[in-house]
Amino acid sequence: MTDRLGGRLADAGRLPDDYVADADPLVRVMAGVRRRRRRNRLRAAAATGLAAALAVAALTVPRPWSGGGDGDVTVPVPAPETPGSPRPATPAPPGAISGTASFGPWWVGASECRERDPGDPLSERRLIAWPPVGAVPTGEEVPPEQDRWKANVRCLLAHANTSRGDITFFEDPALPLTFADGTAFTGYRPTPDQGEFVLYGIAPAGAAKAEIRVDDAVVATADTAAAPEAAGMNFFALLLDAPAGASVTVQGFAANGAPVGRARTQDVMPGTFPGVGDPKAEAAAWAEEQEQERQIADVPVCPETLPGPRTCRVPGRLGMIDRPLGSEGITRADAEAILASPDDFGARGSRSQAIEGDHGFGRLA
Amino acid sequence: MDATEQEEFAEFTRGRWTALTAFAHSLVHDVGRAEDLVQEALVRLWKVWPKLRTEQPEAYIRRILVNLAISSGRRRWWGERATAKMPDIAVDGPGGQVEDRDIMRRALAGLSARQRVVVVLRYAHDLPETEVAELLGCSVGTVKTHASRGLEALRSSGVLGPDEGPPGGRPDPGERVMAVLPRPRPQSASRRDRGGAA
Repeated sequence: MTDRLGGRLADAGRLPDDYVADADPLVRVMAGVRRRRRRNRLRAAAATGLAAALAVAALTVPRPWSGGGDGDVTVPVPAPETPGSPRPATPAPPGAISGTASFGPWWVGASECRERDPGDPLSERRLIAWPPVGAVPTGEEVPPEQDRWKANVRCLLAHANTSRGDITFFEDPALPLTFADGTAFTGYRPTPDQGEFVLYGIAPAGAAKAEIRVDDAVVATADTAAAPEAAGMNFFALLLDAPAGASVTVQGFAANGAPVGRARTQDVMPGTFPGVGDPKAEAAAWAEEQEQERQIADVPVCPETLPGPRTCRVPGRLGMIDRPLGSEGITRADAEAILASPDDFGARGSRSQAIEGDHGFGRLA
Repeated sequence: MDATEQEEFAEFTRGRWTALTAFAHSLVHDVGRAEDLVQEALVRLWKVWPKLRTEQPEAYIRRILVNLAISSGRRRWWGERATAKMPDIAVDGPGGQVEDRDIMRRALAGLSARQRVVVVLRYAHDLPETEVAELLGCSVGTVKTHASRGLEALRSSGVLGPDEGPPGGRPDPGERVMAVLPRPRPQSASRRDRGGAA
């Protein structure tokens, strides 16, 4: 009885009786439109002029921090971003803790993370890590960016060579010690067994070192670095090679070895959190997606105007359109509207979900 | 976009928000997520509104919603979880309808996003296969495949009685099956879905 099935399905999908829509949903929609415009503008700027500007800024801004060595640095000017090419590495700002891993260079720096101040030339430099994809992984579903800026909490800027962009990691004032993990891998399920992670965080005031335990064994101790831009702020960053599913605990220590603040434990390493499937299935899915992407790369691009092929793709979008036999095809504009962009979902593509997902918020409990 | 077009978009948004949210909710069974999808779909519609406003924006946005419902199913932070364990079947009684609704939702959550969307469109919204194919931007054969496998999964989970739904059977092998979005769920069905040509 199809009717009975339909009735049950319809009942299961019915909106709750007490559902109340927004007073004016247009406000919400237009906020989304503005966010998208802003993101697109900033992305375009980051791909061209801003890349050069920040390189110049990095060369000319004094180096007030103790970390990172002395003297001038030579900063390569990143090449403009082109569709399909890896995102150019952002040069490390002065004072950042940096290193090189198997996946390439990484760095973590500190910032006040306040809104841009037109009268403050240094505020330009704080914008170089935009967009704060770590704090706003989708740009749509999380608390408004402005609220976060206005909260004026401290934050770190993190960069891993393979992530789509640089990450703004906001501390969680409710926690005694916050840390986030950046993974080197591209993809939503990057490592089924073992991997390198950039572990970084804000240490409590007075902490000279951060001790890192993996599954209850001390594996590293990192010196904290002062961040003059944010008074009294110490932060740490290090590269960690850890197994999937490991429990990571970070504890701050004073110079005399006394513990500072409470230890903080992250139960599961990034990229290995319990997901929709077991790690092997996730790894297989990831491999399959990669294979599909290779196949789709051979599909023709959707045309600007009709007629066009029944099957086509849009560069920079996920998937492809495959119209039924006899259909007239689809224009590129229509296909763009239907196909998701990696930025919309952030679950795959050239992004690292672990670095741009939950961990960027410091939601570690 | 001129003032008239903006006003028309505003009117469309305000007038259709609840209906679209209800439609999205039928696909994802989560109010917050349904609203997110509608918002995202309207943001995309805004971009092409001047061109589409005199055509069929409703059909267009539903198509976006359907594809968003499928592709967003992979988003971890929305907390979607596939489950292999089904709850006990509800018995008739004072809360029977609520329990049945919950059981059905859980069963649907166990399907792949694409299967779920196809099953809901096909049987809850009673859309013909050709229309579902048009909404998903895929072939009728693909729709048949997903509908058949979705129902099969619901039956095997014990949610559907033997007399519910159309009789099971193999999907029409005449058309090529091709993924619209390369987002297989980490379940065994996803690999079959992609290569079902005959």
